[in-house]
Amino acid sequence: MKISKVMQDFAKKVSQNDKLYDKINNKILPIGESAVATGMYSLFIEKNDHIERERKPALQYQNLICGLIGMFSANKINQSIQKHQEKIIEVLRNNKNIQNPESLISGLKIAMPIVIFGLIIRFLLPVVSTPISSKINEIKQSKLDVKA
Amino acid sequence: MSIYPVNGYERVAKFISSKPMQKIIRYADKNPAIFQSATVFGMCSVLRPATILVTPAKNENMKSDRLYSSAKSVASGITDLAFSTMLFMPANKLINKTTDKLFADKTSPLFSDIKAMKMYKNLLNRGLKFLTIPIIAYLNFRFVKDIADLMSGKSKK
Repeated sequence: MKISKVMQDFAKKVSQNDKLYDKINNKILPIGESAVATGMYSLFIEKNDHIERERKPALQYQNLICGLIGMFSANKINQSIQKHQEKIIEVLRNNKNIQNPESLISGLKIAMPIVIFGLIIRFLLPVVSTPISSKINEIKQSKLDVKA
Repeated sequence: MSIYPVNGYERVAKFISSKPMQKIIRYADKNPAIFQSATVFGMCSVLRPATILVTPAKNENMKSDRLYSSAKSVASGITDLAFSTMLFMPANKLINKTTDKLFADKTSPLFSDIKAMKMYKNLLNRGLKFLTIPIIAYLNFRFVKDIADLMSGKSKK
């Protein structure tokens, strides 16, 4: 319970400073999580004996591309989503034909970030990075073959 | 507001106001965790691998890379769904319950402080994610070869 008390005190201290609160919540924690995940994925790709050796470099490059872009663009994407979300909510509020608009708006605040963020970070980015990582691996292999 | 959507936001709002979309969005409001899990699973295990597999590949190496990337997507979706339903959702409920108690406890630093409460919840949720990253990372790649073999129709000898 000492850890809990320390965390509560830390949370209290941080919440009293707006800049620090924003920095920790929107930058340090998400970037830290992404960095650790990317590093761990990289480690387990390398250590995995079941994946063919020739397939590992492309997986590594894909992991790195997705990790790095995700790390540094996630906050901007979230901010952009919130900005556009507010404008859509304004239109919905003015629509008298919607029954119980607050429930719809509350759901939209949950659904929209999940879907849009997911489409960019979990769909578009990995799809685009797959051929790029293959190409990087191909170029690297051809350079190694030339050296040999 | 005019009958016809004038700008992009009105177009999107019109789409959201349709009956099927309202149903989905209101469901997300009532069950945010399930909605998130289902969305992530759908993207990782269905949409992403399907899209990767249809992207053009110039040679055999690229085709294999594409297959492994799709297999990794499927593994990632299944792992996320499993962890989400078995661990993160119940843990999230417990964290919310604990935090609500602290919020109401006069001796707690979080007493009546919404911002501090949100920060504390975020720290606990992220802390849990940090602890589970190694297991999730291991599981994401452990079955990639098996899934790749299954997707390419190769049978185990």
